[in-house]
Amino acid sequence: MSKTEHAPGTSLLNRSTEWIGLAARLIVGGVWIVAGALKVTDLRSSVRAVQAYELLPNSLAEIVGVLLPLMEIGIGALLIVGLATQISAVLSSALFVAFIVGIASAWARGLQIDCGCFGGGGQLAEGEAPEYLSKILQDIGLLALSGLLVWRPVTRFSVDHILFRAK
Amino acid sequence: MAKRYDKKQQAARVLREQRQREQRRKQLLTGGAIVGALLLVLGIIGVALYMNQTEEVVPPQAKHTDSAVVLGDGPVTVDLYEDFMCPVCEYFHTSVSADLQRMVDEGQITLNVHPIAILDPASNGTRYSSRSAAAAVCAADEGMFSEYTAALFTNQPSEGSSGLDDKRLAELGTELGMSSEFSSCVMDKTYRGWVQQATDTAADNGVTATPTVFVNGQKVEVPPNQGIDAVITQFQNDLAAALADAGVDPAEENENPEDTPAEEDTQD
Repeated sequence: MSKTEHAPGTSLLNRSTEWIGLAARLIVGGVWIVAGALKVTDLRSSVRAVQAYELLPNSLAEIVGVLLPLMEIGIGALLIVGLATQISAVLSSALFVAFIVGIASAWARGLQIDCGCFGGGGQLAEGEAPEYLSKILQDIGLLALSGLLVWRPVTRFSVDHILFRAK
Repeated sequence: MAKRYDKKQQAARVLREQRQREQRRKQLLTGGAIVGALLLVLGIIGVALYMNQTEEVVPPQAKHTDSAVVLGDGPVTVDLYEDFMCPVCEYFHTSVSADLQRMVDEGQITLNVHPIAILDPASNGTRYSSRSAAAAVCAADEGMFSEYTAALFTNQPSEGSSGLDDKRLAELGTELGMSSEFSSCVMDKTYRGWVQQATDTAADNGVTATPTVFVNGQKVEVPPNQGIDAVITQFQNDLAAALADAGVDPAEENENPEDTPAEEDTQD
């Protein structure tokens, strides 16, 4: 009987996709873990950051602000080890879509979403628009990588492969 | 014979695809269960951390509201939200504090200063904003809030640095002649919880940037990207209008009637 495991994996395209997928997992997972770890020591700052978007009522903003950093760490860890890759990638994509929409909405309304010093002075004011734009572009890139993992969740060196190896 | 072989191949392929589908579904279900359990556990950890990071609130002895130190007692109310690490707040303070102090002293305004800590993430984890704000509240208890906050702004550390340490914060008060009670208040972190509450309250009320100033409950606003000088001008206009409405004549106590408010700061 032919080893069916080789059939889907042998094409060069599929194998490169698995390596690219690994890179995507590490990059996106790394970004999530750092983002979450930075906020987890001061959850109130995280709540304030959510409130600054003025999209949710305060009670919901508090819940989201408290839970989000931990979720980011969780999704990041799952992606890095490659466990439940497709589901994690779906959650990751959903979060990036939410962030992109939120930032664009704040930008459109002229809100200051970086809690902090009022954008006083000409220099800061000029720098403001590109900051929104670069954030959105960054998130679009990460969204694309997450989407790739949703589409092609089989990647090199993943816990998924160990747990769910095709017989 | 070819047909039978084809049929066998087809049956085998259908079986293989069926098994693959079942395997994929099992994988998704198992994965979903793992992710669900993980998120649940993380959620519980998050709530526990949040509660753990909540500091005990001790109300100040000085006159205060739930998020502000109250100076003076006049018909017009000014609410000023500031963070002592914020350079724009220092600029704002330099521009208007002399006038505000005069108006407080002459009973024209009630000045509510909200010392908030939105820039805590910007001091390398030392949370300078919270520490300096709490120290300022300690100074309020000694009746030297304005003097101390002026000293904080004069000695303002750069945004993003670790800020002044608690010893230095206490020292600044001692240099102003405050007692050892002030130093203990600073070192004991007495008002950290109150500052945390004040910052949370400010955020609940939509204030997450500093400086933010209100006149009689109305926020002083200018169109986006116009800069702090425009805000200062608008503030002075709003304040003058409110004072006039309250029947206070702002021109009365000007020693030099030609002075514009911005030029009155003659500290140097």
